[in-house]
Amino acid sequence: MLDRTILIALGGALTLLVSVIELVRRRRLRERYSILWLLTSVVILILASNRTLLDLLARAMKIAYPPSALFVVVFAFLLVITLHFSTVISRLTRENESLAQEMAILRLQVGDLDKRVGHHEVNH
Amino acid sequence: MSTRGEGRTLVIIPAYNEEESLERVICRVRTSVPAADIVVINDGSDDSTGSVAEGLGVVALHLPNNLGIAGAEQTGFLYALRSGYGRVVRNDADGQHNPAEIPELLAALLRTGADVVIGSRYLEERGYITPRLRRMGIVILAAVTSLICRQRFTDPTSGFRAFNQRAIRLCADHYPHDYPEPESVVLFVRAGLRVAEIPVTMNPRYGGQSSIHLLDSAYYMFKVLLAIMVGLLRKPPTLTPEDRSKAR
Repeated sequence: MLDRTILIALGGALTLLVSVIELVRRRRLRERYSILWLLTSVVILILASNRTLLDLLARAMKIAYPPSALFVVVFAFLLVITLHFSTVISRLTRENESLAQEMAILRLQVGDLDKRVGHHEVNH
Repeated sequence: MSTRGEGRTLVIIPAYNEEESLERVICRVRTSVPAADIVVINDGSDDSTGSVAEGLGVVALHLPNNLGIAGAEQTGFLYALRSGYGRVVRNDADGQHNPAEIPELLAALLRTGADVVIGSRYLEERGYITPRLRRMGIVILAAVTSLICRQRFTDPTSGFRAFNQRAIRLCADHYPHDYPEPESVVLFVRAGLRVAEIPVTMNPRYGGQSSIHLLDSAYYMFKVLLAIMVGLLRKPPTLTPEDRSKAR
């Protein structure tokens, strides 16, 4: 007999799974950034639909109320996901910096070239 | 662009909203080191810093957005490396650094054989007044830096510095982020560069305000110390022949 908490968890996980797949389908989420989300929803689905497994996990963590174990697991996944995105932001920042630096130097070079071409046209 | 500055000196002036003081700084640099080239890195300024620099006939590098002091400086090092400059001097755009002392920095490069020469406000008592809290921070950073480098540094936060080609190469490739000065001293020493300090006299700023406000001091200290400590966990950078000297 499924209790209401588990039903809510199942519903939430299914919604998450469908949303992530739909976002990838519409190309609003890249595959590589969807993997952690898919993994999270699948893990919730497995734990929520398999009471024996969830009880086992709860006992191993000394958690009296098994559905709480489910939320501990979800919380851990969310921590991993946010940390992962912090590293992605750091990488994007570094790449953005390099691009800006290259662009500043290129802009100078293009200006120099423009001036040279300009002189050329005046001379001929 | 490869041989434009062969063996010559480039003065790097990072500038973010410094329209008030930039002209005066550039004039003083020109008087002090007439043979040197000057590059202003306009760090995404909202004011007329960019057009002021263009109007003065110096090389102006315009960053499309504001990278902060470290990213702006590194742009200058990258430009110096690609143009083949043999020596770089870092001079602030706010008038704090005294361009008349640039020849002393450059002479010290030769005299001491160091790869980096830092102009220190505190090596000699020259009447530079630092607010007490900031002075305390600098003393702590100087102590940490000296301890790690096993060499005495009195002013690791000073940005008034001269660099030879080895140092230019390292900076173009491995410059620290955000508040780079103290961290870069540790980086230089760990990479095997020789760093020397000479006494300088700094001015109060002409205009604008320090990039480090009083309220941000705690964050500054924490960030810099964290960066230095975590930096020690990394392998020291090596000076590779192929780095950012060519566009990647």
